[in-house]
Amino acid sequence: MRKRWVQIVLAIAILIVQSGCWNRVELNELSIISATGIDIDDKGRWRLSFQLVIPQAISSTTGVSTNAAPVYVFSTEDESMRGAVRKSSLELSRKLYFSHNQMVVISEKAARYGIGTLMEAYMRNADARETVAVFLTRESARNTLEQLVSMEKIPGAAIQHMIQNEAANGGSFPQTSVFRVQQELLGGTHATGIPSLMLAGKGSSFDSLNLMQKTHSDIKIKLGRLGIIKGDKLVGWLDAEESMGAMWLANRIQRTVLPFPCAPSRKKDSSLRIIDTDTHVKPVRKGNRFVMDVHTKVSGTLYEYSCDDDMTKPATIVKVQQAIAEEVKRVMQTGWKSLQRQQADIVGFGGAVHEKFPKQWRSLAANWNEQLDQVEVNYDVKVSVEQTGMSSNSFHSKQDKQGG
Amino acid sequence: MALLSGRNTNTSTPPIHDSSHGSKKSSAATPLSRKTGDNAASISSRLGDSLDVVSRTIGGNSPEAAAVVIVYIGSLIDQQMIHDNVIQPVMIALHANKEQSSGLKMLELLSRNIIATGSMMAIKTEEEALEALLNGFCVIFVDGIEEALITVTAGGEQRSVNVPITQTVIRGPQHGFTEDIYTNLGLIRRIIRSPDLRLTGKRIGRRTQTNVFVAYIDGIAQQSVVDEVQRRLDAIDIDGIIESSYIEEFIQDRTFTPFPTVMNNERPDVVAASLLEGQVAIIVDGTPFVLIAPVTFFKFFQSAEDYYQRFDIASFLRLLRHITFFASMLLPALYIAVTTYHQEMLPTTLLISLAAQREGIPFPALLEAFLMEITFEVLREAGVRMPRAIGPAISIVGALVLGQAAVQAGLVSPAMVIVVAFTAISNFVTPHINIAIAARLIRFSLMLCAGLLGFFGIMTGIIVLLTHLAGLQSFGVPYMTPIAPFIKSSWKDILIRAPRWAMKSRPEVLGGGKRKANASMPDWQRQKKPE
Repeated sequence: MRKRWVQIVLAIAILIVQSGCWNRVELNELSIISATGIDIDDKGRWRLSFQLVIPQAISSTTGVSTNAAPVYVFSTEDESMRGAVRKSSLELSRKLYFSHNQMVVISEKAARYGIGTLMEAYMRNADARETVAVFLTRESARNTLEQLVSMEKIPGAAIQHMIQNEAANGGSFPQTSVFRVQQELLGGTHATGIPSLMLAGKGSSFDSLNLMQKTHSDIKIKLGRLGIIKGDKLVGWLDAEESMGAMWLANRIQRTVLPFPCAPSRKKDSSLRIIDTDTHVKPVRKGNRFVMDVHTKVSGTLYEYSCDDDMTKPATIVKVQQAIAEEVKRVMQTGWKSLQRQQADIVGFGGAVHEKFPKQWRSLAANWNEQLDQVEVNYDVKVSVEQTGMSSNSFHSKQDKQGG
Repeated sequence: MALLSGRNTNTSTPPIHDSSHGSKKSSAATPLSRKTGDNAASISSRLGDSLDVVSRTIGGNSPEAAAVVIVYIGSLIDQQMIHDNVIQPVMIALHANKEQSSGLKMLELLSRNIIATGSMMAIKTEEEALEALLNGFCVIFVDGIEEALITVTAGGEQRSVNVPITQTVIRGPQHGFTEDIYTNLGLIRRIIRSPDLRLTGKRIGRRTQTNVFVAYIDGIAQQSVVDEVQRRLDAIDIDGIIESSYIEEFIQDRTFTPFPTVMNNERPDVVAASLLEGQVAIIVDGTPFVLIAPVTFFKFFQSAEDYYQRFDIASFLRLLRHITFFASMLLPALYIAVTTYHQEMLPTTLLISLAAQREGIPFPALLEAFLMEITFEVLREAGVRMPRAIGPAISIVGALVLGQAAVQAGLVSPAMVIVVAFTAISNFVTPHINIAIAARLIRFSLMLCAGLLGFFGIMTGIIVLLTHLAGLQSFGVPYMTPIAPFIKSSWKDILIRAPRWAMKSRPEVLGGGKRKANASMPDWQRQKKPE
């Protein structure tokens, strides 16, 4: 009995001592990465930039002065990605911690070179999360990481929220995670779209807390265009409207506000708040070509209406619905045309064909993207205006009535 | 013949077998003398001529040959009673009866016509007289016969029935057991007015000769459990029983476990309810804490209040109790594991907030947690032991100096203080303190597991714990009933409390076999339909 106790005590004692050697890491031995940037130089060496969170500067509980910048950005270079990560220990006192990385920014140059290496690194490592948001940028990725975002403490998290907000309430750009990029690049069409970040304004850089003392900032980080990735390389860009058209086709619009002209001659000074929308694509064979029947259902609330029609009459609502349908159709066409131009199917038409005509797809798959201009698209948009808001007729028409 | 002490003794009570270790049978019985004076002197000297031994001589010609001598221990009896019902009638009778009969005639006269007490017995030996005296009887020696009468005159100051201190309820009976076993037995009998209620007595303790009663309801309790309880009680060999915990340690199934396999309670209503469920109660003289056995793990999370409040809130509170029990066991361990091994599990903002708090803390999280836990245990122990007058000082030192100052000095992080505080509070939610103590002890080993191996360590610890729990038994009943073994019908009173009419049968394992007994939905309620 005594021998057994000695054994147990010894085992515990040894285990306690051993714990120091295992991967126990205290919170204050971690450097939490909030964003990663990827650049490439002319020699093909990766330059990885990390945006590290400085917890004391962010949390208000500790008495440390809040004048310190909330993040610290530094870069390392190497021919392999992980090699660059390894070199961080040359200048960093703490272990790099990737699990809370919020986004990864890829410079245009690196994206044109190819993002395959990055995807490989994400697939192979356990600590890199595939839920990270991906962005492209025209500037250097490092420069993007250096920018602060007003009202927010951690720029990486702020930008991630920005794209979430845009995908949920705007709709021009999709929320793109590493996982989604991998999924689409490994899918049938080998093409995907990644939103890009840009610096807008006339200042040089929003990288100092002093700039936060003003009520506005001369320069800020914004969501710009949608980069088209084909294979693993950047091939072109879509602007906001083209991107939105693509989002409509891809059924990725959730809630957004759609401006439309209430009469053909007017500018787009009326708008509809979209509450629910669903797009369904049905491929149909027509000889050697494919016709895509796009059925879109839209329902929403009228936000603004500028024409003088009598909104109490059902006929008017039908007219409004037609006007909205036309606008949705126009946006979709714009998007589709630009995709044909870029020869990249990022909206999943290829997938729809694959599902419906698996045999034919085998021969089509290889150069589906190149033959996009052969694909015809039929649009069928059904709009239902559920409510006209809290008023019926427009302000102007009411004023006219009173005057008359 | 051995005696049953106390006030309510009557001949119908089954005689207690003299517990073999109790009074030494080997010392041969000393028969009484014919002379009252000799008897009184001999008894007094066997009690060491203690000052509280009173011999009252009545009648006769000399103190040595008094007609009647009444002997009692002044500190154990009720003065008023012995005066009014024994001494006074005897004196009046002897005074009136001039010819002074003696011997058997006198004995019978006293027994039948003169002494006005509830029970009366004749004894023949000094040992019986001594036992009677020490239990608060008075002994009446009569001249000319080798026998004596004993009658109950026990009394003395007792704490009155009060609100239970350790187990309070908002709604429900507000009386608790006292130190006096007869009061306690009465409290139970007054709730269960059934002839099937069995109260069998024992004397345990070589020196203290403590009265111990085993209570159960014949026909509900399993006979095998009752027999097992009796057997284990009979096997106890100890100098003295001061509190029921002495007995608990002797009869519990397993000593080396943090989990109690015998429950204690100071509420008569809870004991009565347990008896009705088929459990056995062990009532010990001198303590308000009555033992209940057999018990299962989940019994410890049932509060008396559960049955007095509506079933919805009772169910909610019971779930809460189960959750907080695990919180009080696991929370510091989880905190350690998450902050030192699994940082990726926290939301980013929380992680950053925690990281900011830990900035500059010199100790690893494990040590930090141990420091705070031990500090709290010290505070708690101090809070229980210190004289009441110093109370406020402890709270000031505890709350301000240790909590706030430790954080400000940068020794511990504020989040750790919150974790430790919540753990401590949740430990008090458990209605039975002895299972809360189990959680308190296990917490430390789980913290160690978490510090060594993270979640993996906690998981290992829990597996070991569950294995241990699954192997425990209480008087033959598996401790984890009704989860392991799985008994569906008993689930109505485990994590939740079902409405009373829904609990149709008694807990199977405790009550032995499935019995429809409890209740069913009243017909008028069943027939009611929405109009």
